Amino acid sequence: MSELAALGWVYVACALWLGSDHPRGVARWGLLQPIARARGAKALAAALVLAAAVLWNASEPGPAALLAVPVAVMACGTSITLLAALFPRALVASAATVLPLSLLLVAIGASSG
Amino acid sequence: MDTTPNRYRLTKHALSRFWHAHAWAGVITALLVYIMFFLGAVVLFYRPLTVWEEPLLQRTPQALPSLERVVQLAAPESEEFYLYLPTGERALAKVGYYLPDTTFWRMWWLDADAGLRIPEREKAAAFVYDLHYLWHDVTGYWLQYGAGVLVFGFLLALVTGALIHLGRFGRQLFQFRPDRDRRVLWSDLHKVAGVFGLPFQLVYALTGSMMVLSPLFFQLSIEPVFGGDAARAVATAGALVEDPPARDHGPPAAALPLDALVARAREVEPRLEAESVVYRGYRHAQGTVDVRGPIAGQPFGDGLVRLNAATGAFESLETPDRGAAVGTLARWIHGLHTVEYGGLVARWMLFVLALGGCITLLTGNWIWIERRAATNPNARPSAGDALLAKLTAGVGVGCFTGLAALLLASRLLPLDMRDRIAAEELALAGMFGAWIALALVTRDSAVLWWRGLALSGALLALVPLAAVRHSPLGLFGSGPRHSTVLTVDGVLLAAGIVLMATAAVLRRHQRQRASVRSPARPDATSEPAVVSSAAGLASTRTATTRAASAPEPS
Repeated sequence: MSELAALGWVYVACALWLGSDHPRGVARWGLLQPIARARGAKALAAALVLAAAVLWNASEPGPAALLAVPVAVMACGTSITLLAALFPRALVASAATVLPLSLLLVAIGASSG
Repeated sequence: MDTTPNRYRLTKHALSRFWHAHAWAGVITALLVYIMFFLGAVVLFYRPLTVWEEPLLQRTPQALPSLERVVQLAAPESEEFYLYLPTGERALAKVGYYLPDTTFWRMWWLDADAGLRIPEREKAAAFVYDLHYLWHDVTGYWLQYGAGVLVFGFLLALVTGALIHLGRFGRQLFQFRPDRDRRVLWSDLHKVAGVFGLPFQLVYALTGSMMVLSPLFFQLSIEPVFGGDAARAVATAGALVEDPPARDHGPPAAALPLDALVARAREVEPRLEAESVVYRGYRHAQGTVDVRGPIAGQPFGDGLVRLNAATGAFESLETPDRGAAVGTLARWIHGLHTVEYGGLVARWMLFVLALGGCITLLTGNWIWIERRAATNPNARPSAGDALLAKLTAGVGVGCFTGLAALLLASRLLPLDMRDRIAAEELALAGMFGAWIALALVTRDSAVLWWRGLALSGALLALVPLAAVRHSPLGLFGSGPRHSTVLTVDGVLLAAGIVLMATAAVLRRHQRQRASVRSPARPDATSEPAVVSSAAGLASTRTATTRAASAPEPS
């Protein structure tokens, strides 16, 4: 479950990172829009990736934790881009809103459990 | 082409050369590397697929009171054979070997309780695994080495692509305009997916080419580097070389029981968890046995203890923490490529990245075609460009249809059917070839894409239903559920639905695009009809928004 929680942090971080600079970043289409527009979104994204690394390390020590986080960053960035390319904006907005919130809920659940 | 010197002051001449190398290397290698990436994405789930496809493995792992009984049961026709012991993911032992002096692999399941040697009857997952690096028993090594060379070409495309955009990665990462015309969209998608996936693609291209070409490099290095001393070369290369050079195994002699040999190997390396053994020169005085398996607490790579099979005398030990530099490198190459880290979540992420790689490759071809068409918009595309456009569509969608046909065939063909493995392979090859042929005669590739995806989706959705023929443990079976079988059935059904939904969206957009095509462009239908799922959306927008205002993509 910690893997999923860590993946949630990475997804949000990627959405923030892309949304902060991306002219049509998916974060601008969802609930993350005001956060992505705020200054310091990149710092927040970096902090979330760091948190993900800690979570991942807790779930599976060793090379898995070292390798899985950058793989997650690449995969989340790619999937966000593919989502934006393949599907209508409304659907992506929903995904950009619902998916991070769901993953965050999982993350909170995992952390407390 | 954007030849503006970047911040690292590459000259215009250098940029131009890099760009041409990138474009030519990409377009030459793209389609075959696409097949490797596409099948590689499937191979990430090789182990669950092997359990799903073979009902013999859908049970608790068989306990083996005597390992030697399995060796006796194996009774291989070759003096060199691989014996795989039961594990959590492999309920039965199996034996595999090449028929002497050929590249034809034979495999048997070994049911020690029933005393049965059951011939391999299902090979869909293994077929996909082998095709992933262009291996087939019939074609042997030459095609595999060809794949390695191709991947080197892909590496060249990656490196030159990175050099072209050196200093502009930030911009290329963020510049994404899905509502512009398709040329801009493909260019953006190519660069965003390329930059995001660059580390992934570099690692996989490098490790893949090394794995595929290592036997060739090894043979070539023996004379000039090691003075012809093959044994020393093997000792240096370690895990880089799967097969040691042939040697004289001496006169006939009985081998020690496997139980004793495994116990001896564990005396040498107590951390070794024996999962497989390899006999070479079986029942000869100088024959060897390799006892192999993971080393507890060590990442990347199995350990190996080599013993004399007749006497049990120790010959060599390889473990991740004892390897030479080359051996360590080989373990990392293999461990990274075959994902010997992380769990299911990591594999799904790599699946996304592999699909991202596929998108990068296809969009590269589409950019090439569009760019060449743009240089002379009033002329018909050259025969080469038209062929490339059609092959890109045919191979692109043919991978989906071929894979779906293979999986459905594996569930529909009776398990006791003669030559069923060949029939499975024909199902994939036939469907793949048919879609390439269709692509060659279809004018609008968008039609080909949505029809191909719809067919693939329908076939995949039928697979869990057809799976009931062989196993009652799946989604629609009547027996108790088996978690792996249930999961694979569920994923295939979901994939089928997603593909059909994507086909429906593409069909709608293709029809919209056809209806709004401007009569002022009578040559529109003679353009290379290349379209992606994303392009379907973009091209519709193009007709209704601002195609003409799109800037030149770099």
